[in-house]
Amino acid sequence: MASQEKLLKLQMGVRENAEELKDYLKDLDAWEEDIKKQDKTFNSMKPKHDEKLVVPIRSKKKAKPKPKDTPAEEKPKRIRSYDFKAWDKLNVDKMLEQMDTDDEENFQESKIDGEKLDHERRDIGIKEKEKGNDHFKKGNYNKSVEHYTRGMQYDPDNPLLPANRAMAYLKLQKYVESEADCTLSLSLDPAYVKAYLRRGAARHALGKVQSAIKDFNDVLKLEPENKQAKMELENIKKQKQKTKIKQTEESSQAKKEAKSDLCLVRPLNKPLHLQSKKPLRRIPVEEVGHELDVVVNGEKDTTQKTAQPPQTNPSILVLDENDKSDDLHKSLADTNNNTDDKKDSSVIMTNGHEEKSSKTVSTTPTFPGQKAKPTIPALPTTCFQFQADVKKLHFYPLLLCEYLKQLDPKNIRNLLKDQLETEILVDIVKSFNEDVIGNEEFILDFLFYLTSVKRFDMAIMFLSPSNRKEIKELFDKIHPLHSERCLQMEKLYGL
Amino acid sequence: MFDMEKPQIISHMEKSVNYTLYDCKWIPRSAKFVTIGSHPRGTGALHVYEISHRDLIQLKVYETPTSLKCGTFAASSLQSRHLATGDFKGQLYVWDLENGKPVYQCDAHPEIINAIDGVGGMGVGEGAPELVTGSRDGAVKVWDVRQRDAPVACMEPEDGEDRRDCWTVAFGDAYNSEERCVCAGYDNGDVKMFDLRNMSVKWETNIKNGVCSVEFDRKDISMNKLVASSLEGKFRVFDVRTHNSKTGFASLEEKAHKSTVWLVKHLPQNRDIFMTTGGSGSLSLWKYDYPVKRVKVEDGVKTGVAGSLQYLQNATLSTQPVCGMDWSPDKLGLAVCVAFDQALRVIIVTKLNRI
Repeated sequence: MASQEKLLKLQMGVRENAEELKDYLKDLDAWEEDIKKQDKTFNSMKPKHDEKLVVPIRSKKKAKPKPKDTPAEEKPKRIRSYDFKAWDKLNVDKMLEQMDTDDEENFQESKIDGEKLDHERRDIGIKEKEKGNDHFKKGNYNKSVEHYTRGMQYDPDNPLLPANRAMAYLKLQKYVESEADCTLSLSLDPAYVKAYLRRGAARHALGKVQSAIKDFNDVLKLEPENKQAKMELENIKKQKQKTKIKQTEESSQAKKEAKSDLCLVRPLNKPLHLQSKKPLRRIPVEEVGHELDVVVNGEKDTTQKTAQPPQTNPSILVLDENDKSDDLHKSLADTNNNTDDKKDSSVIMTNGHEEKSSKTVSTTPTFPGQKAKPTIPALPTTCFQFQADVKKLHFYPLLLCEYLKQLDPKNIRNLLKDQLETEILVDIVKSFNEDVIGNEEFILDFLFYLTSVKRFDMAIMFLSPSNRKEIKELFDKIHPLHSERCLQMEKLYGL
Repeated sequence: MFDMEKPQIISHMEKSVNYTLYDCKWIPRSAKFVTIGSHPRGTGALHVYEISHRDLIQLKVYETPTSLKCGTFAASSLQSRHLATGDFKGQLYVWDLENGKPVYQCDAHPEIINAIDGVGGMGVGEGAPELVTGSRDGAVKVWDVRQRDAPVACMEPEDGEDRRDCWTVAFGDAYNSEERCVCAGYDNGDVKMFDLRNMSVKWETNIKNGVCSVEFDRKDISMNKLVASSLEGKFRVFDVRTHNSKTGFASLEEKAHKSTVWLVKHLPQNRDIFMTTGGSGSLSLWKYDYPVKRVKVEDGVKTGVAGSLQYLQNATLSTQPVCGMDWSPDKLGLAVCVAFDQALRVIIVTKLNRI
């Protein structure tokens, strides 16, 4: 009896256990469905991070309390550093609270890609900036550049760091770097007035007067009462007038010298503080024929082959090879206009590859209105009109670029038929080189359709090495955006 | 005799694989788990499975450059659910299992990372999300993935001292953003508890045999119980609430498995129940019963009192050691385990809610 009872109990137990398991599995199925929904919702939330970022990293806990401006830096409306009243009103506690509740806003893109999270890096960036500022105040510009650079590595989104470094570069008279930094800063904060001011100063120093003026005008758009911008604009105007006067004086002086020497150092009348600090460079001169008649009569013989061998000193000291500013061209034109009637044989050089421009200069009087800044001509209907227009805008690459932009690249072939001179090609490339950013698509299209013009092969055959370099430069600028097309095009252009 | 009230341990699903399995972890808030192991050619294996209507579906297969030893989700948020792993070359990786790409990588130790644990993620434990790794080089290092390359804390023997192989690490005591401790077990039987707030050794003992596994019953409470399992088929439960400066913590030793006790895993839904896994492929389920009074006062000094253990169930699933086991944090009684017979098993433990 007892054993039977036991058996019965055992049977019941087994059955119960089986029931239990069945129930569990049913339950499990229901749970699966439920949890999979949850899983999906969590997955869709994935890009966000709900890390409690307020909790500091252990090793950083004992570090100094955050500088007060940290939260402010992250606020959408930045308080200007000189706005002391606003700083006094700043309620740090409230901000911290807001940070707690509003994680998303503060850390939208904090990828934990192993690097320190954004706010952590920002802190370092700010600290570096402060160090940089200290060094700057002491006049230790090289040191401050170092700190700003380090800060930029930690916090690449802060527009203050590149702008400050630009200032340090200005002090170090590294204008090219300064300009680049300002551009970077403006790409981060397009309304940052100081960056415009500094870029204006840098560009002015580099001789890019037109763009400098534009920068200062931009400042006035943002802050109509900005004294510094007004002053700078005034200065530029004054300088322009001065240089005009001086240039005419000097060019007449130069004529006298040239008579004896047949060589002329290009008149460059920049005030001392604006002159390039690059060391002077010796450049071999390719004499372009010193009888003006050759040039005037020989419009067709514009290639170097016709140039006569140099008779005198084969080298000229050239100042500031980067200088291609508009007013310089103007002054060149002025000089040449003056020299024309006397049939003076002077070689004016800015740059190795600009020798042709000097030739064209001497022939330019045939175009009226050369001294005044020309307006952008209307759309050309014939090939000759196009060529004339391009030549007319030879000294105004920016205008030329605007002019070219009116054209539909697809129609180029129809327009040019089989007329493509090397000079025209070079002018086009030069103008594009002045205004690449934002126009990459158009430039590539334009240059592509240019290759379909009949005489294109001939035209590129006559390119001088420096011209090729310019084309290469242009493609290099476009390269990061359209690398494949660029490579293809470089081939077409025989690079 | 058959006891109907005892929970059952049932192997629900089983799957053989062609690589060595070392660890397995449920992906929180999902019916998925990840297995961690090593291919014979010395590369790591990360596979993601999902249970779906009594079927096991392989969702993702990743091969990593180095054999992987251990992993944890515990320092990751519920949104990201990144897996942190330690490998044979001492590298610490954090993986995004969606695409199998590492989101963090550093050379944490010069030698194999034997154990890893995390805290601060998943809403478990207060404070910063941190990882702790224990390695053959004898060092225990605490990591914050926001700080690359350098650990936020490092506990290692001083120069000249013996460097023992660290086999296991566990976080605990993380009940507020300041407090946190790490417990580590070594091959010589040492168990050390490090206070991360004071950066000091809080307590240490020796349980005679190499310590295979240590675990707090909960990470996110003021520390309560600690279980340490050892090579010679024994494990020890410490009541770590009350510390006596002379006698240390009260403890209770228990024999199990007749072979190495590889792992101790507390049930997430009930901290008094835990599973031990053995070298003979067996699983044992235990329940800790508290004594009537947990603290006794002798001469004004408080001393803890150990409770007793209840042996609930035993099941032999494999012929080889069960080296990895994880309770589902989301479903009571659901677990996954891996053994050296190159098989993974989804197990079900019933009646846990009635104990």
